[in-house]
Amino acid sequence: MAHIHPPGFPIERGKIHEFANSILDDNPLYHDEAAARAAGLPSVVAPPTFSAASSFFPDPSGRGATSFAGLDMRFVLHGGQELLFERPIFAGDVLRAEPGETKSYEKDGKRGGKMKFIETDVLYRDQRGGVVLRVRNTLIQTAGVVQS
Amino acid sequence: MPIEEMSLGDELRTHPDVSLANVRRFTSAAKLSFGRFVDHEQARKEGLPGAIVPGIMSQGILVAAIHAFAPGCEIDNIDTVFRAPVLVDSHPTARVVVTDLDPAARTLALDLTITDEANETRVAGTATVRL
Repeated sequence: MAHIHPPGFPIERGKIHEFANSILDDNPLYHDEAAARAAGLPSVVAPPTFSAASSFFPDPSGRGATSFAGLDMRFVLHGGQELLFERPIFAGDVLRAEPGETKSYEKDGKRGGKMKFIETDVLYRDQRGGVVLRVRNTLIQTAGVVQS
Repeated sequence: MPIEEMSLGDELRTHPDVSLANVRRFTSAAKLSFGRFVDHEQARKEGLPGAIVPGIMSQGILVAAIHAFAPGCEIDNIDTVFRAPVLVDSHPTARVVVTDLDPAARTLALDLTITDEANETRVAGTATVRL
């Protein structure tokens, strides 16, 4: 299984605003540059899940920033997600994702046959090379359509 | 509420909007193109009871609930397990409960859940936030 990441993706204020609206989070630090600066921040803050969601944003070639080659996405479910922040992510940051360790194992499922679990670690660095975020995702691929 | 006035067990419940229209708004913003999130029929073909809320949207809903509980807080970490799908067009409840607090460090430990109409837990997690 290979992960494909773009060399860097800028965190944009307008995209943060759109994303925060979509999760109905009216935290002014996500939307209002003046409020963010008044709080001593360099710019508006990206919601914690923004960076993880941004792994789905297409790169200039049209591919998602993160792809999971070898998985049949028709049968993949999201089992869990852990985000560990070293610092908040701000508009103006340029992040680079580094794939880390990938672990996979199988379990017998009751309704979808054998289930394959894939745990992936991704490290996000900022434009200065500092680590800002560690993400661990657990994906579950079932053997086929889940029998309800 | 200032951290000095908070107690273990303090909680907040919210009722997030997971209507099809709102999930479509999220998937558009997050560039998630899977039919199972926005098309009940497609989801049923995949063996699901109907369209499901993306896990990362559920995590976002919990983050929004945290910010409703502790406005302006900074989230140091959040860990969620998606035990069962949250169904689109259902009426879930998001719950944030204080499980530990450190007024000196100005940090809170929180338990997080999203439950369905039958009070069954669909998403569970924990978070540490800094006030």
